[in-house]
Amino acid sequence: MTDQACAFDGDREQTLIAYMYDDIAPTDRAAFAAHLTTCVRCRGELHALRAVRQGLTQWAPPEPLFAGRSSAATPPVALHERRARSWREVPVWAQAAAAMLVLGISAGIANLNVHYGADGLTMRTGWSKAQPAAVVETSGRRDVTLTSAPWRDDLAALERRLRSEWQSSDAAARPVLARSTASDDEVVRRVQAMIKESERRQQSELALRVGGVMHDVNVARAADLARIEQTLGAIQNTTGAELMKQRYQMANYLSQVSLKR
Amino acid sequence: MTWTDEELVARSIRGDADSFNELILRWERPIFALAYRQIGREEDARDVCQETFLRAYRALSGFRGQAKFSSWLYRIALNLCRDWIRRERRTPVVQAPEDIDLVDLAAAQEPSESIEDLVARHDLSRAVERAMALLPEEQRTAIVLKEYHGLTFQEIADLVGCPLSTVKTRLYQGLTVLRRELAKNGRVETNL
Repeated sequence: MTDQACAFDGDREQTLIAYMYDDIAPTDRAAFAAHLTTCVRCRGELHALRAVRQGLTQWAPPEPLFAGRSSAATPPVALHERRARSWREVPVWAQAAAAMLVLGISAGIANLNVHYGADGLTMRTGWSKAQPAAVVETSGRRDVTLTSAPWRDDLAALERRLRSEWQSSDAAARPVLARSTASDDEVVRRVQAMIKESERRQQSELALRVGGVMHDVNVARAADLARIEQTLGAIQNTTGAELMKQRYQMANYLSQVSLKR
Repeated sequence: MTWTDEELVARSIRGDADSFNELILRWERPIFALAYRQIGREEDARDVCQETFLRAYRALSGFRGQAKFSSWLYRIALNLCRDWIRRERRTPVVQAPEDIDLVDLAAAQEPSESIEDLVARHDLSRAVERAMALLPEEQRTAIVLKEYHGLTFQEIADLVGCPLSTVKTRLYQGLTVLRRELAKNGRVETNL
């Protein structure tokens, strides 16, 4: 298309750019708009450059480490909500994949042993077989108890500790910042301390967030374990019914054969 | 009450350190984004961002308000980016990994977006980043300031110290290079 003639009277490239960004005098704008109705080349180029601009919108910089810091545009409450929402916004398939991964690792760590024998389906966990409490008999009433209470306590303790550290650091930072009559070096030190403090707080928030995510995963693991157990029970019932049916058919067949003889 | 940048600057000069903290909170993301798009390295962009505010704080008493505070900050950051590029003697790098991390990718998924659309968006972002890294510094700066920071031609011209017509020419040339590079990968139309 570049070989198509353009009869625009003026600096075509600059006017095209000014028109596209709508940073142009009204008279120039009207003149170029009129030109566009007759010039295929300019119309095509304008369309293509707009497509490039559309592509540019897809390039976002990474979230900086200081992202968790509050700002006028993103108050602290909104940041907390956004962090929680960002985890909820992870698609179900990704959450399921993560849950299955954790489940697999947990099963490996717990030495999960599934055995199907004459006693029915037996699930055993733990490295020491001498602990009967770890054995789950699927034929009986199932009671999966997770050790989530200490985990929650740990998480709550961690959260309390981090929040108290933030509060104390805030209180410590303010008096330092309030003095403003010191020398330039002093001022530079203050700003550096402020930035370092902010980074430290960011790391603490990250630790808290990781703790929260682990908690969510733990809850998902508990739900998955219960679901798997129910599914295994259903499979066992189906298998038992199938065996009964086959036995009945076999007995029926044998009795018919004996009658014919 | 929300203070303007200039009011916060005036309060900072009078000794209210919280006001300067507010300015940092207000502008650290745009300055980081500018630095990242100029030099392409997250850690270095963070350093540039930090150094920008340090220099601004040191020179705060000299800020007379002839220009907007944001323009003043942009100028400091751009000078630091230019120093970085000269010191490192290299063009911006494309830092993103080759492989797609599905979990990271999924976190960026829009609620109504399919996986195919998400991957296509990710690929386009990478293609844009690579193409931008190919541009000369002046063209890249003009595009970044116009596209991502919404500055007018005149503001860009004042910031980088060149005629207004030069800004438009740089934008045209830069966008044309991007168009060609993106067309190679089938990202935009090829009817050049």
